[in-house]
Amino acid sequence: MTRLKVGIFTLAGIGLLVLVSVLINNRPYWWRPCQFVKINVEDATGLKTKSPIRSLGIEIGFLRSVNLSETHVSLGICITAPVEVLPTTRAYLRPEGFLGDKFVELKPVRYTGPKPSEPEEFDNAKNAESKNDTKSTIKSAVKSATKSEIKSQIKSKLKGLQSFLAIIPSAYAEEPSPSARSVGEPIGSPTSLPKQRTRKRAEREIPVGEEVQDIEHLVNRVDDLVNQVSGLANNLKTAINPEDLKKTMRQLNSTLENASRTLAPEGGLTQTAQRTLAKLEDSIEQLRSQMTRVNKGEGSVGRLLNDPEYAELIHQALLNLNRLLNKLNNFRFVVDLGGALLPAYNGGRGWFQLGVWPRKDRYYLIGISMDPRGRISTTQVTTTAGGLSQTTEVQTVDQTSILLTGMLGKVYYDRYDLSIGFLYGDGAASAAIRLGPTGFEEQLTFRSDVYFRTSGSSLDSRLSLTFFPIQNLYLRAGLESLRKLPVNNRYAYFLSAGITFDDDDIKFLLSLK
Amino acid sequence: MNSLGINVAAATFLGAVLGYQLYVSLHRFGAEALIGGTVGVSLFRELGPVIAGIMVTGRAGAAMAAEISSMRISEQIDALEIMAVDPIEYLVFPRVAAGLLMMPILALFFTMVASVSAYFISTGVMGLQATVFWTQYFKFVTLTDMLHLFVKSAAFGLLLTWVGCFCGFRAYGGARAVGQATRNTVVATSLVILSSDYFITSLLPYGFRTLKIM
Repeated sequence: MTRLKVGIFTLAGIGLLVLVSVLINNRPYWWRPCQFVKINVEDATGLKTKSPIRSLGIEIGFLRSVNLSETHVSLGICITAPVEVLPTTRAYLRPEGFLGDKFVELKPVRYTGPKPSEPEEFDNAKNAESKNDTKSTIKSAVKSATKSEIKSQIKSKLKGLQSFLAIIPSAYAEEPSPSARSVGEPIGSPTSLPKQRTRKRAEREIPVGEEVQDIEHLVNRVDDLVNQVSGLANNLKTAINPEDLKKTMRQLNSTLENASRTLAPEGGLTQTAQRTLAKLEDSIEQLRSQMTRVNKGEGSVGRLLNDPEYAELIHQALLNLNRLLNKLNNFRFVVDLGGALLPAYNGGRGWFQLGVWPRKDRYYLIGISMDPRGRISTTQVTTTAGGLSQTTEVQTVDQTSILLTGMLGKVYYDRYDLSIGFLYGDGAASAAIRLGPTGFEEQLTFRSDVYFRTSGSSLDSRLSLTFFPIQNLYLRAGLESLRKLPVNNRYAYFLSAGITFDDDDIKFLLSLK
Repeated sequence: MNSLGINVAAATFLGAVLGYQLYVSLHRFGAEALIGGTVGVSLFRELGPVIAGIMVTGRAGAAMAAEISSMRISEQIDALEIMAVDPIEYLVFPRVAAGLLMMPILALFFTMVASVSAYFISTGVMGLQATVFWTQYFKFVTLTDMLHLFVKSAAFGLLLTWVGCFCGFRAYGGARAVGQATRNTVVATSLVILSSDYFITSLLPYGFRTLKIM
């Protein structure tokens, strides 16, 4: 039993040993032959044996040897992945990790391993039947284009390889390669070839100038940058005129000096500020004394603030004034200025009337007029002859006197106008009917004035018809008297015209007063 | 082989402690990812063979010394000599050969168990990614490290069996001599292992290829 255990233990140990050896080996594709490639670099910092060799991030081999020569370092790369190094392949040294390690990247390389399984071939016939399957159509087009592209690329590459392969021996050649040659060496005749059959693997040197080229490119870019900066500096120099700059600086300097002088204690700004402060102090002192008086109740403001009765009186006054002003605002003043022709009296009448409308339906009419009928005045003359006295009444008519008008009127339903008072010096009562359209009822008015003259005669009546052809202008016609004149036995008719207007100026003046 | 159990136990705890301590130390530099490589290299190069050797010394070396010393004091060795049997060939050589052959395997077992233990601690407790651990492990451990392991462990196996047999053969007296031989074996073997470790390490390659001057 012990021997069995020992045997199992031994076998397990050996198996573990083999397994660990394989895992630790860390050689990608180690079961494949090694395609040995030589690279010359100028700086192999960070590279060591077993450093990975990658192409586009995939490990394709390892660094087998690092050999130092006088001018460069020769890296021996063992490529174990199924890839082929092309003539256009370039090597790059890339950093890895943070310990300063590096790896070598080769690109481009060609994959020569087994191709992955391709998807099923697209059936064109099926696609032709299903017209809506546009995706399939596109896929097939892309696939066919890709295939043709690949074919053309392969052909072109093969042509290039033909010349290359003539120089470089195949890495997968089963037979030993005739010799290790570097790129560019011409192939001689087989007899002239040196019989070096020690190396079984093909060796090839890849010119690693990419890093140098990178540096050169970088240097060129830096040169360009420096030139651009120099150009910019020159442009700035020409753009910025030093003389102008100096002048500007001098002006700025003098401005600053002036400002400092102004702001200095002995500067004008300070004196002005001091004067202003003194005035401010005086104002504050006056305000303080005024406020003291006010607080004591002196003066109108003081009384207003301290005496409630006073404030109430003022309040009431203001209220009344407000009411009055409101009322005044509602007042309407109508001025009437006109003239009439009275052929029967061989004269005319002129008048100026002011209508005061405190309300819409009530008015006061005052006016003056010059009337050809004149003012009648009666004079008693007593004559005494031989002890007998005789009294005679003489009526005189003063045709040049001014006759007054004063009427009080009221309008009912905007249509019926009644008024009473004295009109052209005669006591009168008037009745008018407005026949105009709604809103402008006065446009056509029929008026009848019953008046009483102081001539001892009976009542008389005046009839008139007024028409407003336009606003503010009226024409009037009518009979001055229903009786014939005893003088000439004619009816006294009249024709008149005049203007009326609301005068806001009068209202304004009255309100001010 | 009987030392396998104790080796595995010791390896488990050693690997766990290694995982802990290395994580704490490397975390200061933000280099926790290097635990795998550090564990692998340290186990393969030093800790594996040395600790395994010391464990085997305590188990097998002491047993060897005790056995031989008891044979000595019971005059069994003298009996072998009388029977014209070379005691060295009969007693020592098999033990030395066993030590020489088995010690590398034991050390390998020890190293792998300790690595796995460190892996569990690093990933399960400390939160390191498993892929990172093993990637770094196999990246940093090389065949040179395995060479260190095998050479050292073989040397330690040789040494411990030698010392054990030597102390056993030199036992004189009664039962007390057995204890003395055992004690001496363990002490001497431990010191020899540690001192030889230094000399062997200095002689073995460090893993850098010498530069070729073309």
